[in-house]
Amino acid sequence: MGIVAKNLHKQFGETRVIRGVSLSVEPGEMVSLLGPSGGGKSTVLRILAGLERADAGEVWLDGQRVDHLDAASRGVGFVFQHYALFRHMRVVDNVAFGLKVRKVNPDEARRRAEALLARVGLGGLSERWPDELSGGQRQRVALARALAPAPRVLLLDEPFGALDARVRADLREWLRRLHDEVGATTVLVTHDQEEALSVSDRVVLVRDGLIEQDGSPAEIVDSPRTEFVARFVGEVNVVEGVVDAEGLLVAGGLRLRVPGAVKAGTRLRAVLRSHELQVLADPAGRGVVRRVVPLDDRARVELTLDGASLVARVPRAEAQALHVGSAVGVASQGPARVWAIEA
Amino acid sequence: MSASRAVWAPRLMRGSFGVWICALVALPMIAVIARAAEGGLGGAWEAITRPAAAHALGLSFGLSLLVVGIDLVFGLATAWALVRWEIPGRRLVNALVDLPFAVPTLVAGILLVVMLGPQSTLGGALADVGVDVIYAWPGMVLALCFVTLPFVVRAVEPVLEELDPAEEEAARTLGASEALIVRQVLLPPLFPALAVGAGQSFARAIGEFGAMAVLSGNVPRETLVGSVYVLGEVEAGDSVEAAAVSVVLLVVSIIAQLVVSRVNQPWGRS
Repeated sequence: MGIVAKNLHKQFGETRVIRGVSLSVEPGEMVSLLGPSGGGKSTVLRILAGLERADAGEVWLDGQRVDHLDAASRGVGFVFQHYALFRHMRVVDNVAFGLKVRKVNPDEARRRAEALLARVGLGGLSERWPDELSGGQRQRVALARALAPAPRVLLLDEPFGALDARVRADLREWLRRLHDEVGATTVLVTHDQEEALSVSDRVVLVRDGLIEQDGSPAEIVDSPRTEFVARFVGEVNVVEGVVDAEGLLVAGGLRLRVPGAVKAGTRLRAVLRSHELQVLADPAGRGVVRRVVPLDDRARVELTLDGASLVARVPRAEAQALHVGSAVGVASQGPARVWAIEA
Repeated sequence: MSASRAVWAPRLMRGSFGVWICALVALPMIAVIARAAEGGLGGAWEAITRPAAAHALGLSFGLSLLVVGIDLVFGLATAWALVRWEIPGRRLVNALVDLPFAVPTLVAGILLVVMLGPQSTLGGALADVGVDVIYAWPGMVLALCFVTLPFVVRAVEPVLEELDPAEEEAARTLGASEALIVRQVLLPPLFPALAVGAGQSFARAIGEFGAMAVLSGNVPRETLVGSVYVLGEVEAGDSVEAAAVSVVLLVVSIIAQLVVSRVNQPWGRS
């Protein structure tokens, strides 16, 4: 079942939370709404579910306009950040709730709930109370509950936001596998770029109630359309400077190649990914290492260059030669992503 | 020095607790039961079954049950409004809810008499259409509700605050109607708190004296309640009979507390 949203608007009091969002999700696709908190992405999701009513705009599910339908009649599965399990019902009754509401007979509802619990890896926990489960287990119960009535659309609102990093990463991969098995059209709201990029077919960046960019994870990472997208994704350095006579941007102690021909004297802001910076031990270098943080196969190097602070990610082997206080030379690989500085 | 203090402090606490329980709770209860038993079991039975006493006790229990029913509805509504609505001047409303705890109930009774008594405009108008409020059971119910409503509000409020509105939204997205949500999602978690509030309201209503004394009219076998009847017996020098009726009020009140304390909450483990 496909989802189409056309030109949605929503205002809470004086605050315009959504200012014209259009979105189209293909049947079976998994799309993330990514963006900073308060950008309106959750509100978009709640409007799709019928939990909020848009002030203007249209929502279509499976080719039918559903704006007039309340949440109970839309038949979409919804998963909340803080699980929202029914605390007074055992795990199995939580999962069976949506089936019982649909008048499935209790034995059948229970059987199907047990089967779903087994599928999400919680077989054997049916008789527990929600309070007795860990956060990750609770969210899997919530997912099983949402999936029980076999919705063709699944909406997830920051589903892993309340969990610790390790559990998040595990559940994220698990969710993607589950999606591929179940095949429900899925929209995931998250402020975690890694989550959005790793799990979805398409990422929609939302900011201040507007869509900044809508594209595949690769497009978002490699061809950010706006400065905001470039800055939001990955670990970045933002430097400002002026283009010199040779057409190079002098900024943050670096001389950067810029795409195309730019007039000398133009002021530009460059967004440099940390992995695009090259850091080499060089006694004559102007940079000074402030801190080296070992990560998996790379190291994060914090340094200062002519007074500006920069972050670089370099291979661990290269980082061996870098010590706090050592002098380094810094260069940027490839042309920089630059944006005009608005007056 | 500090080691012996560590030993003595808990003992002192336990000792104070024991003294308090004995002196203020157990001993008076034993005393009143002993006094009631002075006339023998037959005498006590006669004291509580004589028409005026039986009527007063019945009226107390009947009114209290009715009041508990009203409290549950309005207490839940009040708590809901306080927790879920953005009311202007919420702090003031919040303080007003506790007002009955702070005002002597005698004063509450007088307030109602002034507002609704036969001499008042409102009371006069009501009397003209044949509705007696003061010196009749409607006024007594009003006064008892005034006194006991906060018990339900304060019992339910914290639980309601903990309830995540997302639970209701989850039920909605699963296809549940609003009526079903109230029945199966909202009320069950509130049930233990409602029971506690109901038990406290019931016990308080049974024991209410001040407001009843001024606005019930105290007509035996009509508007005289158990607590005021006891005073009458004491003033008449019938302390054994007063004690017998007191024991009935006491026992019923304790039973009510025991019953609600049995309402358990299996899901509240963490």
